[in-house]
Amino acid sequence: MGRQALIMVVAYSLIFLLTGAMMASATVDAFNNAMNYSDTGTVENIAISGANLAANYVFLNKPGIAGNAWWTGWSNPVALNGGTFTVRMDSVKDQYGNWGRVQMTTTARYGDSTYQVVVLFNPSQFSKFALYAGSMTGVYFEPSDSVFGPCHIESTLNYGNPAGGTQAYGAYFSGKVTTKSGIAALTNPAKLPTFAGGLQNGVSIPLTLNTSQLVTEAGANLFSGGNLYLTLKDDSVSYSTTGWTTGVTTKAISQIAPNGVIAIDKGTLYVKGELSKPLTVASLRSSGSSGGTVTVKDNVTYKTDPRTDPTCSAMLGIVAYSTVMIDTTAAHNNFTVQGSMYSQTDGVQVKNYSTRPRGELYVLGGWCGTQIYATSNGTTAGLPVNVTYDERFRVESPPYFPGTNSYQILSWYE
Amino acid sequence: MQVVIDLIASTVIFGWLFIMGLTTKTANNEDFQTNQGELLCQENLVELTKLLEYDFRKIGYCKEPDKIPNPALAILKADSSQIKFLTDLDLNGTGPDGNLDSLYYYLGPAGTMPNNPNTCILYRVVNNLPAYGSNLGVTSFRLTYYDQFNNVIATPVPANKLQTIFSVQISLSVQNVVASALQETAPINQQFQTAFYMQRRLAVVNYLNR
Repeated sequence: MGRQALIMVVAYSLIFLLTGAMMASATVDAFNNAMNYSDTGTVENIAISGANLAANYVFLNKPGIAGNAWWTGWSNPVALNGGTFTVRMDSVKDQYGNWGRVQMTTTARYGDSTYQVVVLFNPSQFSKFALYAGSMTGVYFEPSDSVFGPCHIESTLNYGNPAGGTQAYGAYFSGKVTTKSGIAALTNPAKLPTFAGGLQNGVSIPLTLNTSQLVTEAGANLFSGGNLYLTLKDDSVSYSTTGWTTGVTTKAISQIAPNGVIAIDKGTLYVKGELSKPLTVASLRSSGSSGGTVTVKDNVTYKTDPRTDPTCSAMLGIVAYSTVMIDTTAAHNNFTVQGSMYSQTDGVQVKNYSTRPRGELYVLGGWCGTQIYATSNGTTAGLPVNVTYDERFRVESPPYFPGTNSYQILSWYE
Repeated sequence: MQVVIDLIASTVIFGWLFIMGLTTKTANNEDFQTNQGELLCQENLVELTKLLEYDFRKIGYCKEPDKIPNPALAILKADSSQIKFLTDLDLNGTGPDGNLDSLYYYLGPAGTMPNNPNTCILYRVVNNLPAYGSNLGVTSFRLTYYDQFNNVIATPVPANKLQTIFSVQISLSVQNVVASALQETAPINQQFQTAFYMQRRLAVVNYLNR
């Protein structure tokens, strides 16, 4: 009897052990699954944190641009949250095969798990802005104003309503807006603008014109002093230093500007015509107190419209140390400027804006300057401005267009 | 007489032990199914969340960024239980190919699955190809959109407000696709293990980087 009881106890014990093991296996699997998810999340977080730390280093130290030393990354594993990460920096080519972009690869390890974050940087140019203003002293965005594209104000962004205005909405900004000193209402009442792409204050991006680089890239064809009359003719240019019709020479852009830059130092550049190649025209002032202005004498357009022609490679940068003047003496009232305009110390102005016949100034590109000027008298004269952002300028720029001396993130792969 | 009493007593004891064994087995089976159901539910949830996080982190991403100059236009449709966006998918297992793809997530109707009327199919549609999805027991899939000031954006998000999306909150709950209770005939006795997941503020890093 004792033996049978013992057998029974042993048998039941075995049954309960097997059952317990089966029950435990499901629990263990669930635990392992939870741990696996936790490990995955942890290694991802380490990689993302490492990438953010490295990106911060890149933004603060700007390796490889503006004379800063190159940075190879953190090759020795950096301990973080129980795991490690390494960072590798590589120079990569853009879509045209030119070096300049930077790829940052962050590899994290946690236990058996590995995870990579790949971030692609591009040196950022001022052409990425649809509108850049160094100062808004005395002027403000009113409800009828709109900016379609990235916008930066290197001071306070002012907004307000014209006298007696009762608009229900404020100005409209479709793209990301950054300011150095925040926003302020200059009138009372004033409607707060709509920042559809977000608003970030405390960002300083001062205008920086690297004159010596443009001089270098213009090479032997750098003009010095006096005037330069430039007529764009698809993939070639006609130029003269005496006038539009005298002493004119025509050359292919690849010949006169192999690096894509035509420049005059301490003089005045007049430009008009139609373009089918990437080109930057610049009027510089390497020294002294005169010269460095650009006058847009007539329409400046691309041969095909990049908004409808994806193969359009034409891209124009108009760079001036001083004023970019829209000269409205041509025999038509509506003007078109396709390209990004940059004025280091002044801004874009419309000649005789308060007396000339009323028309419209269509800009496809961007508008960067220290000052913002009125372009019409608001009612009967001048050229109200219609700026359309050239979306290509988010990732590309005219040759050697002034840079912000910092990087922008093109893509972030996790 | 003693033998008869022994036989009766042993029969009673054996029957009692037998019934006890059967009861134990039944209870163990139910517990085992419950545990397995919870495990299955949890595994389904983990796989779904991994996929969702993987895809959502790539909103607006393209290996060749020149092909998407303005990533802020990458979200094409945003509603409380559906979202459509542009990204660069790994379609053949060799990584992103540098071409833009569209990805559309939406939740199918409830009540179409035979074993658990609460579950729906979460569809993942790539490049407008026919929708497909498997029944992983999704009972709710809710998306909440926030702007840069952490304000909730009302859904459906109108086209002119899609660019204001700064982060997305994904809420997902999953039930076991079959009931684990033994008495499945009466709905009141059906037990569906449930797991819930909520990702707070998944920042869309590629969306507003330019």
